[in-house]
This record gives sequence, C-alpha cells and structure tokens, in this order.
Amino acid sequence: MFQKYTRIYKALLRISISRFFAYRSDAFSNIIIGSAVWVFFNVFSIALVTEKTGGVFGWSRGELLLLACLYNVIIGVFGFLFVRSMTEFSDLVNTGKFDLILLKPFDSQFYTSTQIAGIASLIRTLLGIGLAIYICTIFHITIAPINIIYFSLASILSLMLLYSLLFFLNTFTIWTPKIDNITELFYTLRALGRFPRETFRQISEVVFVFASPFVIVLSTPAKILLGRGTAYDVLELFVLSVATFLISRHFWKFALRYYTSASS
Amino acid sequence: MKYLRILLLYSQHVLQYRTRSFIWFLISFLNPFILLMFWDGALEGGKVINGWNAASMQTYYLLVIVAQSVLITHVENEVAVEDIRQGNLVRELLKPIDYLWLKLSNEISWRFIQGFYGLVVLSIFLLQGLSVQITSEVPMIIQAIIIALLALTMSFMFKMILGILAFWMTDIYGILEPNDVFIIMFSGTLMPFDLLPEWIRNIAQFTPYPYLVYYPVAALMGRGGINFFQVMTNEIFWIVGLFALYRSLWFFGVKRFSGVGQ
Repeated sequence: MFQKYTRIYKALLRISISRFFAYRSDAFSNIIIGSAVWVFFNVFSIALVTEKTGGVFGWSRGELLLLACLYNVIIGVFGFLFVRSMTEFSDLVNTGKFDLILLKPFDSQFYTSTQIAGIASLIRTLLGIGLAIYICTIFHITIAPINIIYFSLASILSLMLLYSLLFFLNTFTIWTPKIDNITELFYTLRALGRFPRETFRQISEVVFVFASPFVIVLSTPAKILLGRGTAYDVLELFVLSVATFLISRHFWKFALRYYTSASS
Repeated sequence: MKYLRILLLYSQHVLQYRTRSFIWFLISFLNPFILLMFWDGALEGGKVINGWNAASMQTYYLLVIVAQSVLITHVENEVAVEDIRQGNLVRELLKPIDYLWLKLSNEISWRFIQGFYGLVVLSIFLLQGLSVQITSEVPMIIQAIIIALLALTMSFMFKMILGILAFWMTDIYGILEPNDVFIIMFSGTLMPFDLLPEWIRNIAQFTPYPYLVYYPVAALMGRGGINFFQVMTNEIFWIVGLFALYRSLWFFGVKRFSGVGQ
C-alpha cells in the first residue's frame, strides 16, 4: 500500500519536474520573480512595522522577523506539495475530468491533492531559509541544532493542519464549482501566521478560535525553534492537526456522494 | 443618461455576485485588521510614536478598511486578462460607448457594494466599542471627500493603464504582482505614510500610491502637518497626466490588438 503510493508519487513528481522545465523561461521570469517579491515583502513589511515599535508581545524585533522568514519556509513547502493540485481541482470538477480520477484504482483524495508539484514554490523555502540565517546572524539569535530537528517535526504537523484546512474548503467545490475565491480567502487567512499568536488575544473568543489554527501553524514551530515551546503547544498542534485531517477526510467521502458529473 | 443605464445594469450584475464580492471584501479587510491588532499591542500603555497613539491608530486602520474598499479599484485584471488576452475586447469595441466609461460604470458599481460592506463592518466595530475620531469641522470633511473622489479617479486611471499594458505583454502578472506589493507598502495600507522610513517616503511621494489611501484617510482624520490644498493640486496633476498617458497608450495599443473567434 505504502509502496504503491510512493511509486505513484515518484511518477507524478517526475512529470511535474519535466513540466516545469518545459516552460523554463516562463518559470524563471514570472513565477520565480513573483515568489521572490512576496518573500521580501513578507519580511520587509514586518521590518517596516517593527522599525518604530521594536519588540511586541514578548517577541523581540529579530524574532518577529525570523517568524516572517519561517512563514516563507513553511509556505514554500506547502506550495510545493499541494497548492498547484488544489487549484486545478475546481477545473477538474467544472470540466468533468474528475470522473476519470474517481475511476482510477487509487485514492481520489491522494491524487487530487498531489497531482502536480509546485516546483517553483521551493524558491520561497530557499529564500526563506537564507533570510532566516541572515536575520539570526544580524540579530544574534542562537539556535540549538536539536531545535532545528524539533522544528522540522512540528512543521510536518503544521503542514498537515494547513493541508486539511485547504482541502476541507476545496471540497465545497463539489457542490458549487464557482467558489474559487474561497481559496483566496484561505491564502489571506494563512498570512495571519506571520504575526505572533498574542496579537490576536484582544479580539473576541469566536474570532480567536476561528483564527487560531492559522496562527499556531507558524507560532508553535517558531517557538520550538527558539527553544520556548511548551508541551501544551505541541499537544495542541498535534490534536488540532490530526482532528482536522480526520474531519476533512470524512467530509471528502461525504461530499463525493453528491458529485454529479459535468461531462457527457 | 446611457451611462446611468449601464451603471444600473452593472449594479444588477454585481448584486448577483454578492457572496463572491463579500469574500473579496473579507480578503481586503483582513490585512488592515491584523495590523490594527498588532499596533494595539505595540502602543499599549499610552505609548505615542510620531503623534500616533493607540486610539488614533485604531481610527486610522478602521478608516483604511473603508477607504481601500471604496477607493482601490480592481479593474486591471479584467482589462488585461478577460478583455485583452481572452479577446472580450472585440465585443466592447463594437459598442458605441467609450471603453473607458464602460469600465468606469462597471467599477463604480463594484466600489459601491464594497464600500457598503466596509461601512457595515465599521458600524459593527463602533457597536463593539471601538472609537473612530474623525474631524468635526465641516470644511475639513468636504475637503476630505474631494480628496477621496480624486483618489478614486486616480486609482481608476492608474489601474486602467496597468490593464492595457497587456496589449504589449503576454503575461501581465510580472507587473501586477509587484504593483500589489507597492500598493500595500506605499499607499498607507501597511502603516501610516508618515511612519515609513524617510528614504521610502522620498521615493513614494513621486508615485501615485500615497494618494490612493493615506491622504484621504489622513484628511478625514484632520491630521496636522499636511497641506491638503497641495495634495488636491497634486492629485489633479496626476489625473491629467494619467489620462493623457492612457489615451496615448490606448491609441497605439488598440491597433496592435487582434481578436480571434468563430
């Protein structure tokens, strides 16, 4: 089972890579410049805002900037693994090509989530790592090597949480195919992660609960990297990720029952 | 009269997509809202930075939420992608109506509904006990409205120019994405213009960006230290310049345009 899916994934990855290199000039001029602009914007805007305020909510200015860099690292990996495929999904439903996927002898969720790897997104991760190292040097932030490992492990949970949230929203496409800007909303909510969790404490409980999955996606791994993570933080991220994943999975199965083909 | 008719037609169209447009509103609302909370924490305990305290910052971002929904037009994507790249422009060119006015009528109906959402959200915040301190002097308010109307015109002309650049470029996103970033950073959406580092202000004051959001909001708040008469004059210069640029780009661009259909 596991071997079968690794084999499929390898094949999909190979196709994505050759597709990426088939449109090299496009890839370099647009996608890479586009991602680079957003990476620098994410970090630079925090630099601008904190220029006058300095540290806020118990995070120093350097740590806030580091958080913005790490945001790009995680978002880059997320973009690489899932985003391209999810964007294609509404197209699959609209054109009826989704029938073909349902007929194939593998899990439909697996395929709709991973069919195209966003190779260009990795540039965000690389730039993010580069900037993070730069920030750590100029602000003299020391990071224990073991924390990098813990950070990576926590990031896997974060990716799972982000993935489940996006997949859950995407599933609505089965009922209303013209809902593509819901995912735009997801990307904006995702940007909440650039700010520490404490930013959102003043607002009402309802909004906070709604916002918190997006916020802990980044705050928790970042705290772990800085050696400030508590067992509670880890447990919370773990429970939330697993629960959201299971919910999104069941919701998918439920939604498939309502899929009416658009083709023929 | 015919433009009024078109405006009404487009309004119906916009109302059909009210959920969609509400989500667009939410998207533009989130960023200033996060920043509002961030500054709230940063200015806690009566801190003042450059004359901004927690209360005035709150007012600023709440007004930014309304201002950007009313004043920032989003016409460029439609012009570049749907009309020029996909060829819908053929249809518009055949109509006995100027393309610019057609787009303006469409855009006004969008701004109207987005502004409505903005005001609704603002009232919710006011009911929640957040305060908005705007100027109480009538001449200042009239001045602010004029500045805002000029800003809307500027934003529309500027976005139209970006849109018709698609006559020359196959992929316009290389320009539109950096432009979105510049809008956030220089227009005052990220933070008040006067809090930006000096070198950025020196560059940005020669661009249309600060006029789009910052000056209308600052005028309504009645902030001192700004010569609003100067702001209005600059806006008028910008509009005349942008209009001339648009007309000449259109003159050459539309000759390059070719639409294919069956």
